[in-house]
Amino acid sequence: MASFRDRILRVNLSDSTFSEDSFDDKMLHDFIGGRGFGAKLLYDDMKPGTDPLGENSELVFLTGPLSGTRAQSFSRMKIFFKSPLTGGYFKTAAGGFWGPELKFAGLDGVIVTGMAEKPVYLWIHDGKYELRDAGYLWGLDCDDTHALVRDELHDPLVRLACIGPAGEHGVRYAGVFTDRRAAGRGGAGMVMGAKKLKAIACRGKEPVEPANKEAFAAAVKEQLAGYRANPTCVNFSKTGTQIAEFTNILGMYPTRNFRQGVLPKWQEIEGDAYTKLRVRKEGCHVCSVHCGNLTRVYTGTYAGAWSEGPEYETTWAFTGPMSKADIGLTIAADKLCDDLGMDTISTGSSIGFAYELFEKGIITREDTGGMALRYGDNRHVMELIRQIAYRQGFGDVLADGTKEAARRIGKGAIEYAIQVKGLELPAYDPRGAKAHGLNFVTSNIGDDHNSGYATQEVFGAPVPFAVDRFDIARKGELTKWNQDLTAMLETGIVCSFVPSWGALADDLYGKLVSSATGISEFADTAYLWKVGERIFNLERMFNVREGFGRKDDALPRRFSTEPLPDGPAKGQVFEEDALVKDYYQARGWNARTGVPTEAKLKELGLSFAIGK
Amino acid sequence: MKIEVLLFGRPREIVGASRKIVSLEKGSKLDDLLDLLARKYGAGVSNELKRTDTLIVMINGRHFGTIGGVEAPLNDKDTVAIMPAVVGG
Repeated sequence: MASFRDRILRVNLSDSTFSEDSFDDKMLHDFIGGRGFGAKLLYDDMKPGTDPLGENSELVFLTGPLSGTRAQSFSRMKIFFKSPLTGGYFKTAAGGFWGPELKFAGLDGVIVTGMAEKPVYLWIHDGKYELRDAGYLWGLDCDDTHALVRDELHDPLVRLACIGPAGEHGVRYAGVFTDRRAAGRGGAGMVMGAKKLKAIACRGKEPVEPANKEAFAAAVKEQLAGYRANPTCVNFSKTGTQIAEFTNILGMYPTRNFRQGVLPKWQEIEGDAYTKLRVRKEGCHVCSVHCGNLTRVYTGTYAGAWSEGPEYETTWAFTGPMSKADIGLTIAADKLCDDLGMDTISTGSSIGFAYELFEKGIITREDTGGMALRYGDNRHVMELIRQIAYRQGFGDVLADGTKEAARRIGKGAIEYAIQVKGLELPAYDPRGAKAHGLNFVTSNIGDDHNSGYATQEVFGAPVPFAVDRFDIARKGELTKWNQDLTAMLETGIVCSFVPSWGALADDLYGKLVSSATGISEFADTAYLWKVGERIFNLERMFNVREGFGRKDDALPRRFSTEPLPDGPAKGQVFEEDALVKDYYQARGWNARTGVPTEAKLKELGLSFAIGK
Repeated sequence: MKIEVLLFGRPREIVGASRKIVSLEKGSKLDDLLDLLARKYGAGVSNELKRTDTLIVMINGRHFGTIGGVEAPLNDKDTVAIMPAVVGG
């Protein structure tokens, strides 16, 4: 296990105490690391019914076994927690440099429990750690927090994972930010804010050495050659995540709160338009791809605004929901959300929810403080973002996410809350890609595209088999394949995009992780797939224990009853019952309840979860 | 028949336009369109427009691989999008 530190720090903020865990051998072999460890730790430590904002809730920050090594694209850190937005299991990730830096500082992960009396930040350096006063940082935005902590520690290379005002004010979709990268979804920032933990700063110099240097170097060489030979990887390096032209041509770019699939004048926000505004490229630790882009607005209302990004999801979040293609707003709103510390997807979707309520007369200017939210008019978006972050005005309602906001508003507003398990949908209309939508429905964290992205449907990838995006046949099997592959590769916390290019399959990952850790069984691809399935089922059992089941594997009614009205996906609905039934069968779960059967849990070595 | 061709990224650079209306004989296939574009614009760039392994091609929003590949039939007023192989999200 050479590339692990075999040290996880436990911090109890209530009494400012520290302890350390080493890895349990069985956990290592059964779950490999990363997402596997996160799922197991959360399942073991968080009793059902635990208040996500209470003293006993845990925030688990983890790196993977390849973080800090020369393996490409494994810099991400992941945060595991019970979500205040969904009430269930949650995982969220950010790239950048924080994960490797924690490894260099001597730790694989940090588990935070308890609640501090006053704001603090955790400083981890060269194997040591301490809590420091963050009173003067409370209220600062994420960029300023980074700057002042680096000043205080006299080291510009300190890496931070911090919250902004949104986390402090209890926005249910507040994220955790490291440099300008976001572990945005699900409300980890709100949990951190409840604990009065402003940041975790780390710095270290201890290199991470693989167990089998020769085999590891050969695997990395193979990985780099694969990147260079892969046209999708080469293109991704140039353009980053922008695909608005793509999803509009597919007719699945969610517009007007998921009522249309094509945005008027979408050509104004296609990839080339962002490339023209690019100031420089950005990248993560040990990744040759450098897909990040620093962009700047030069003309119009938002002249002078800049951001690292926006990524595709953010581009959508501030265009489709308002039905206006305004590239300047996407950049300005991206930066504002990063500064205030909020997930752009849930922010944009919550504002889009308000637009439809306003159109239908469910809310009026009296509710919004005088703002008229009309399609094609995005003038109030920046103000709404600020109100959400500080829970002021109508922003206080939207800060709870669409599901809870709908409950507060009443008057049938729940019909227009576009979420699954409380998590707002990302930038794809599920009627235009059925396996992609089926993953939205069945992902363990709610409506998350990254838990099992259907590249087969969106990009036409023919692996493991080619599919028509509108067909429903074999979509249960395909969704299981995508989800289990993702869970397997996330034991190393790989960047989500690498498997999408087809540049990291099970066998190469096996070579990397087995040579890095020195555990030969990790090279066995059948073993890896079993671990992926085991992780996904254990996450499911966390949610089952919390009362989740078939009723929660559901999209809003709109998708099964309202056909898309125009564009290339015109006439399509989401055939939810048939798709979910097919999926449960493929998973070996109870067809009525959606709970993994005893036989399935035994097969996966999860007998401890039976009947819980 | 008239085919609307939308071009992105490198294919756009090669053709020098983001949108073209192309006339083809009735009964033409996707391959005929790619041939025509490669003949007209591809010289000197190794016929990149014919290298569909590095491109994503969609006919009316359907991936060409799922509707017959380069043999997919074209009809009057079809929209064909040609873009570099990409991912994102």
